[in-house]
Amino acid sequence: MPADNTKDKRKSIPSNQVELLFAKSKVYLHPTPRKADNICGFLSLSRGDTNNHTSKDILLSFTPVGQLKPEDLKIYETVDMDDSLLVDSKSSTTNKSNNYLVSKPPTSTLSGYSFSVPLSYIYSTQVRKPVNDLWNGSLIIHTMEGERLPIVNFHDEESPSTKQRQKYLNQKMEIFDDDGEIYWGGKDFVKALGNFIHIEKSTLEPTVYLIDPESEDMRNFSPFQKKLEPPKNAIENFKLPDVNKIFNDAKWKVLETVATISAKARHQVADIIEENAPTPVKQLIGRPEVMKISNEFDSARVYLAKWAAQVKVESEQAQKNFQIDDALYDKINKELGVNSKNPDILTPEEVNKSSRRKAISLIEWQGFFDHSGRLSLTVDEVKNRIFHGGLEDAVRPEAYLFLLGVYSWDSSKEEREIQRTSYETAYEEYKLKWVTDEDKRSTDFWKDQKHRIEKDVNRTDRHLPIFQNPKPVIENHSNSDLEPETPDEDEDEDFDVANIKNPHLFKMREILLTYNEYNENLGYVQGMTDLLSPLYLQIKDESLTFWAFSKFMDRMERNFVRDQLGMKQQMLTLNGLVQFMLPDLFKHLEKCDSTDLFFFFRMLLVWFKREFEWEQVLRLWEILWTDFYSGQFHLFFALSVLSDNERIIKQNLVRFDEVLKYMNDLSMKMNLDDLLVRSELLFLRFRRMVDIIDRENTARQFNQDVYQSTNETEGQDHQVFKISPDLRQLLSKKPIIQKEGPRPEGAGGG
Amino acid sequence: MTEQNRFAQFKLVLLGESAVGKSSIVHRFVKNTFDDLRESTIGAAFLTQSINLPDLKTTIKFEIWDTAGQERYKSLAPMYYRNANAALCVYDITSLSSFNKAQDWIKELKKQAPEGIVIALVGNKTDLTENRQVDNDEVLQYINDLNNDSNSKIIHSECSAKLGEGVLDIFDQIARSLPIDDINKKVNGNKRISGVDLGRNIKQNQNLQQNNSCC
Repeated sequence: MPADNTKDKRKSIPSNQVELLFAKSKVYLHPTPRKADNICGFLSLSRGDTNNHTSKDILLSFTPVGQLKPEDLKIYETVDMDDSLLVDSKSSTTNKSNNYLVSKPPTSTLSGYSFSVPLSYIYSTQVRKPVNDLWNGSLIIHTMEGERLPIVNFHDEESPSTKQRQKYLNQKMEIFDDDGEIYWGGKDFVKALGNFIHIEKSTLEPTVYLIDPESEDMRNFSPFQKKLEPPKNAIENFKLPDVNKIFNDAKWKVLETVATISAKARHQVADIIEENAPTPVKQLIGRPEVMKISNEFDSARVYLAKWAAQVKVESEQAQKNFQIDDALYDKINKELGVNSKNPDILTPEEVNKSSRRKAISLIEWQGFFDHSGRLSLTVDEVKNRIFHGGLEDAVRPEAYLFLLGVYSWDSSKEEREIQRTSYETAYEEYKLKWVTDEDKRSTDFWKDQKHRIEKDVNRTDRHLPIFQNPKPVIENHSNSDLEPETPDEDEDEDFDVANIKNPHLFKMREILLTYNEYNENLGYVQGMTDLLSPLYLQIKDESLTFWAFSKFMDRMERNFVRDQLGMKQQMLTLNGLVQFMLPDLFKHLEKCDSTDLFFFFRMLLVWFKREFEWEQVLRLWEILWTDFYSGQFHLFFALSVLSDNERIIKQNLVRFDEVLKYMNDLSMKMNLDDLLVRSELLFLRFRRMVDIIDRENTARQFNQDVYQSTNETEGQDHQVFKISPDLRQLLSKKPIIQKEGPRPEGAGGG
Repeated sequence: MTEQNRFAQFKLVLLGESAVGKSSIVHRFVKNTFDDLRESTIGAAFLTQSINLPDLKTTIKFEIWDTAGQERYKSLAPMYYRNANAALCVYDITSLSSFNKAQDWIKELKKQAPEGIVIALVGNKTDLTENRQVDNDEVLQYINDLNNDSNSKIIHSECSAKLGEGVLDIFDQIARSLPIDDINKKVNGNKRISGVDLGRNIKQNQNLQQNNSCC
């Protein structure tokens, strides 16, 4: 704390200026996935008017280089390099004005890429040290209001001051500091911060520093074996240590307790869990008390699993605000590498190439075509773009027709118009087949099919406004005789619309009845309405939707064949993929009697239609339709769902039905973008692993040929790992087509 | 021992033609909600609900497997009834074909399901009684014939998931028919659990004890 006599020595500071106390160069915000969008700036500590200020008024600021005046930039650069500023001011006489006066840092700008807050406003900061070259050190600052400031990343390899001090410490052979940690840029900040205000390392989670903490805050971040004696009952809610007692009182109280720790603390719990570090929650879940509840109500395990998943989602969500894709890719890639015995992690270049991008806008899409409406890019380029970004809504109606093969990629606009006419004619012909054939319509089979279609259409996506029944016309008393103007098809029994009052649902019924005619062997099977409705709502035109649907069905037919072989085959392939890619999880699933992967049935049958919100289903499907990497990329997507939940499943779930329930309940709770990133990296990793194994096998084969006469190699031959044809097939971009055979005599539909 | 409330857990599967209201019955029982336009079930949904039988000092927890009804997915059903303790065969009283289908399920269960499985034949949609196609007397006759032929008793009941009438009663009847006393004998050797008496104290104050359930 500054003593009175030091105050007098200071010059007074103009109100629009501050005294720069500390600055660190090459600190970045990562506001978007693209490295090009990173914001480079200074992290600084500064103080304004020195009269009657306290250390709590010191400002912590991030200021982008681009927002600094040239003269200020010079001072920031000087301060960055000034080692003397890191000497503890509390203990010396250096607590005087240092002449480093700069403009007051902007609190925030329109771009939002700067911040400046007084230390009194900061609750804690989490200091995350760098992990090899992939992961910069970073700082997460939590405010008193439980908010999180943009995450700041220290690019140590660029910062002159950090590099200089690194060099100096290396020369002195003082590689580790007092905490036994290696020096990096964030250390300077923590040191400088500690010079001005009381900071307290959390005893529970050493990466968290509390800023001038109060006693209650300390308790939240103390370990179960409490160091601070909590004053009596007043803080019962925060008494995490006494798990036994709380469990005896009220079983769920502990979970609630963790969940209701003040907003500030909860964010931190989330951050820490996300860091995969030891946490109260993880400890809690493993505790015998929780196990006991599990025995009593065994769904407790599922409950805990879901709860853990929720925390994970929250923390990831929060994380995303300012630090995403590049880092996310790195993180997932690393995570995927951890459990594998294979040391070949994907290179950063490979990882970078697969960043997610913005969706394709109509203008961009139109730019893909020349004046004759012919594609001027290669198909692969367009698919690459769609795979990594998806489509904006306005692009979808047309793009879907290309993706599904209704229109060929090399057609001109004129050719497509001609094609369109013939599509319309062909559709009408198929439709007439059932419309005009009264005998057909009177068969039991046809009536059954119609009934199935109608009752399923009637309960498909009815939450969407467009599928809601038209509101009854509010009739005026004066002309109550007036009939509402709706097609009165009820009169004609053959066109019985079975209470389908919505015109769009009615068109879907027409399409499905016609498909029933078009693909007589397959007919209509439950689940198809789920595949049709997204297409219909994008394309709207009845005949074009029909053709888009029938093309989509070409690849989906295997899901609906009578003997279920197509589904079984996919689950078997997925089983092989899990064994190959996530061997530890597979072992756990074996223990849970879940290796049939039956919990994927719904996800695979209708391509995750029931697991995501509408917009996300469209995004996922358009990506899957590209066949950019694999004609069966949906299996990698499924794998990513498992991979994403691997830890939670392994820690919490032990029975077949628990796994099934947990996976079922993931519906509407998954993050599509994360899973897309994960599935792409899983695919790249898979491809790499197959490559390595093939090379290895070739080499062995060669050795075997050369040294055929020696006995030494014999033992090794048995170790050759063969990639099964099913797995190898995953590298093919061709979707698997499996058609239904003719309907056996007397067999019903559906 | 008399002071203790028993706690037992049973697996129940719902079977029946598409759109007869299987999921609606389950949702009425588990969440006491109804949705006229509920989407079709794909694969199977899994929910849990407990029911208290105060007079027997027993709490029964049902693990409910709600299956897809369409014919195409029939081959998956054995997976669910393989270890089931009870099966609800549901039909729609306004559809004779759905009643026939329910009879087929009962036949299949008698042949394939574990011995001693409790079967209930349930007619849903009594709110649409003006469109009734399945005569209750006919059903009773069918049940009588069946029960005379074998020593097992089939429970029969009608309900309206929409109005919430008769749903709880079905589960109560099933709970009372389950072999609560025998379960200790068959606890072992079955990973896909089928009835475990955990013999724990359960508070008796709630009749319907809501657990977390899915969807």
